Amino acid sequence: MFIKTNVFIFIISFLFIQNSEIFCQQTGSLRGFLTDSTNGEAIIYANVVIKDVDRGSSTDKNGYFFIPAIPPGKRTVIISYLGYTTKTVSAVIIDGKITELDLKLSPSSIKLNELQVVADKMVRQNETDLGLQKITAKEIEYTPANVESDVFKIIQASPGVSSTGDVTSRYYVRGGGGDQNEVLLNGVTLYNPFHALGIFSSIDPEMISGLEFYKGGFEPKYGNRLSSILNVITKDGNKNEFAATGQASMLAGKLMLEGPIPDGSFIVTARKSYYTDILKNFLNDKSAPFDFYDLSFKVNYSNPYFDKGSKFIVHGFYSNDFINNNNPLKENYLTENLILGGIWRRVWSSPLFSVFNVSYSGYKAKVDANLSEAKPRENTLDDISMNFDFTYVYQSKDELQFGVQNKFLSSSLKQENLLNKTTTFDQTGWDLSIYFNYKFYRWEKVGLDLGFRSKLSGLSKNRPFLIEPRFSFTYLPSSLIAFKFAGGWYSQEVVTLTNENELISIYEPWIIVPNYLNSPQAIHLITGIKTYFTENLTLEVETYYKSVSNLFDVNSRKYDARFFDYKNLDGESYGADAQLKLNSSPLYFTASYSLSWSFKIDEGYKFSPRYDRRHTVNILLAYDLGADWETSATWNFASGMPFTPVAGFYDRLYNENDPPYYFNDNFIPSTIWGNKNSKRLPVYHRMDLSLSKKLQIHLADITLGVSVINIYNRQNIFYFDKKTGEQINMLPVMPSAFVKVKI
Amino acid sequence: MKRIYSAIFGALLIISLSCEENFSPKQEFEEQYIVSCVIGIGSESSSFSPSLYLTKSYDVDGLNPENGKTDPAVSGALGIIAYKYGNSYSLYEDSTIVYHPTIPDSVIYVHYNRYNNPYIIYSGGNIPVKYQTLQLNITLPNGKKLSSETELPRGIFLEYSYNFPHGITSKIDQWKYGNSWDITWTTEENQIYYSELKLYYYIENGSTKTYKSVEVPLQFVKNGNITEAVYPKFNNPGKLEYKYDALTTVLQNISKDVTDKNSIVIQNLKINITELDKELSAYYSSLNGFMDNYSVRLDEQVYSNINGGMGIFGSYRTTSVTHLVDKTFATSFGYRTNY
Repeated sequence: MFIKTNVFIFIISFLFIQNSEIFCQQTGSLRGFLTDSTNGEAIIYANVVIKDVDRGSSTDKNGYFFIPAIPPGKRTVIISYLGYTTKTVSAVIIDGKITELDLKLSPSSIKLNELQVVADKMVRQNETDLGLQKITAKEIEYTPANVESDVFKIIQASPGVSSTGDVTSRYYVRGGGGDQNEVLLNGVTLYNPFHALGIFSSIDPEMISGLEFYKGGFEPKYGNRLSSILNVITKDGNKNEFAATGQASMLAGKLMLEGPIPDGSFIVTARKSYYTDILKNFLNDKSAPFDFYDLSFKVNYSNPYFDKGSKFIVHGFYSNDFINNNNPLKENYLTENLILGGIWRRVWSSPLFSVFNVSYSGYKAKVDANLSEAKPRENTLDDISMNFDFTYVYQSKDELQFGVQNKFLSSSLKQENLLNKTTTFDQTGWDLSIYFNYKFYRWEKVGLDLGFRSKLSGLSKNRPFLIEPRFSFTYLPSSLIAFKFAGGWYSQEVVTLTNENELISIYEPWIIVPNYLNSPQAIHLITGIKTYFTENLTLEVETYYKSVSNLFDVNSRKYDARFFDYKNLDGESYGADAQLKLNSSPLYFTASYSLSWSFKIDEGYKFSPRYDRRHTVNILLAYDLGADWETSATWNFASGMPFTPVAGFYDRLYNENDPPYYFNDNFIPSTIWGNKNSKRLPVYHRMDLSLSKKLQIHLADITLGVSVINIYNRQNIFYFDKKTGEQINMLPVMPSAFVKVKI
Repeated sequence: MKRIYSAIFGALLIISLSCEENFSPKQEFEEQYIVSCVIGIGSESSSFSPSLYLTKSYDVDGLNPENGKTDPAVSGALGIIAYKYGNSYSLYEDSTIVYHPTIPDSVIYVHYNRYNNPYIIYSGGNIPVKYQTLQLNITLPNGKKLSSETELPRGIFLEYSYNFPHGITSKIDQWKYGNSWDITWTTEENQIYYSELKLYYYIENGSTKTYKSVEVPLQFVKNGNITEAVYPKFNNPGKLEYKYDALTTVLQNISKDVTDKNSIVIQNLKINITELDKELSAYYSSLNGFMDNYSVRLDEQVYSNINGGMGIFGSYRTTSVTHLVDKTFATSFGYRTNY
């Protein structure tokens, strides 16, 4: 089936390549890549407009643009991107032909524009992008650091996204669980994107070019997750000159090297923790000797004499977290991720763009018990993926996306339980999925995606034969407002064994859904309105409904091996979120509000999961003070998280490890817990500030920064100690600083 | 614009500081009854007498249950233990368990609870060990009924990697027999076992004998400059591996503070394996953390097998086997034996 299906897709793509001319009638097309003139990095989400004719496009995550159906003749092309000097060039459009035009933009010398990042008013307003949020590296910089700058903090501040506190970067999207979010690093699944028990992201912001964050209703190209997709696109590296950037925070040091190679570029990043004492503010166990590091690289090669229109990329990522107690009587912990991938991107002679992606993603988590009371546990997951993705653009401006995605996955879990019985759970599978998505862009006021994703072969045993329909619709009654509607079916066959009631998890194994359970599925329905008050001021409002079945959850009534560890339960979530964005130099301002309800249903008992927040408000203000000073402030407000209240107390019989006096008359006062998550903690709010200054000393660009977390020292409740009743708070007021040197 | 920025900042600050609220992490108090009855059976026991504690839940000011000052014990209930015979339950003639107010005061040692009151203990007559499955039914003073069921452990049979004909010694051919003395037994699924190996001896000073015992660890390990002992844990191993070196070290250590080694008289080595029944194993594991195949349990869940209330009705059985220490081996340390 592997060969047949993949060959079938190749035949289809070949037919498109060979028959391109039949689609070309009385018009021509323009395509190319847009890059930064100073370092050759792709400029993503920029506008490319053909003057005098109503044609234009935005660059994608690769800096690629394609504008079909342009009347032949000499045309003026205007390329603009906020923060760059607008450029005007000429291009000759030939009937029935595709004109190639690779472009470079120079960064604007006007400092005021530096804060502006993404042009909100897209050239193609009928874009079917409901649920998609595009984030640039600059926006990540705006968010004051939690000691360490973190890509996930800006995700947590997105409308429709919630978190369970200061001490975790985990995020929950529109009522979905934590493992329902997929993080893709250059298109490859990163199974554990966290450092230090989830306190920080393992993805170094320095290597990020941009983020595509799908909060729901995502297109057929994406599968395998119920809630969200975060596509992290990394930088290519400076194509013009060698550069080195070093940065030191109060937690970790990092180094980035980049530069040109013949017909390409490279970038290498490395980060290592060196002062983990600061983590004691985040953790209950103040003595845990945490350590972590991560490495990444990316090499690009593009030579028109070798293969015109092709770009070859080799990339890798490795992260390692460990607790090494150096004591035979104490346990050690290890978590590591490894990604190795190759990408072949090609622009064909016809209006076909293809991406071939082959990758390996490995995950390992291990508890080495030594001679301690802990039980040894080990989880490995090996994911070899091979994806062929094609995009064909018709002269009518319609697009067809199709592809085949193979995922060979092997998960292994080995654990020893309290009864000293070693349990192994090994499973392998082949996920063969095909997808088609037809995008109707032929009408000026309407955009429509119709597509499906189908699993021809699945990883888990108890999965339905799924054809997952997907659709997205945009209607523009005027240039000021767009109405949007999207939806689809989604499924997930790889899950993490995490108890979301655990406040901090040290061990999170990933496995294929066990044979005794059904694979989780979801249905998304989303509506939205996007208004363009001015060029710089936009308001987006979205509502959603998500129905989930066969959720994977801990069997809370499992006390020994007689019971299954996990069980299926159902859930639903619904709500609305809105974001107001003002992008007017020197001010950058976003305000988002989320209203959400999220439920799980366990044997008839309906409860809200811990991450369910009724109201969430996130405000970000960034201001260019001039003279290379920048400041930003964030304020986060959220309704209290659900928690299980105290229903009373009792004297509980307990044992003493001194036979024969077991369980005789040893009683300890203990808590009786009430209905699960039936009450809510007080509201959460916090303000963070940051200030940075750029200096130039000889050849070095130096950035000095300070930030203060929880500046008014709000005592946000984290939890109550179950033994003493003591209130444990989240982070107190905490200053931090960093220095960044670029040569 | 700077004014706007300042104004927004100021407003947020005021909002933030003004949001203080009263909060209680408690829900409405619900009264519950708690049964604690664990039956212990010794190696030589042919019968047992159940002791049962009956309490009710309580509320305190604040969240620390240590603040509770009122004794939650419940008196005046009636308990009946029935045993399973075939497929039906029958009452053993002496299985009624009731609270005898005179009992705590009538014994020499009175157990006091943390409220400085004698424990209210429900007890009954002796029940033969031969009855494996027991059913508990309690009628509370208010008429409410609680019930539970448990199955007594069946006991275990030990096997050894080497049967020492003249008593246990480290002086054996370890190339041939290994460096540890292995004790094995057949385990029941879902049951927890606790094991210990104890050396019994006394120090003779004239006509005075001071009896002592010390637990023999499985092994000693180096942790930096410190040597630490590793003992068996509550688990389900079915096998214990006692390093011969550990036994040697223990025998050496007992005379560390004794000037006359000849005053030490070795009595024996005793193995105690305590087997918790399935209910008590589940209760123990829910109190003491991780035991699942690969799950992380909600930490607030405590196992209960009491219908209509909370608590535990379970049992354990201890199997003890006594071995002598090889006389030559004991005397090599300068000690004597009493055999």
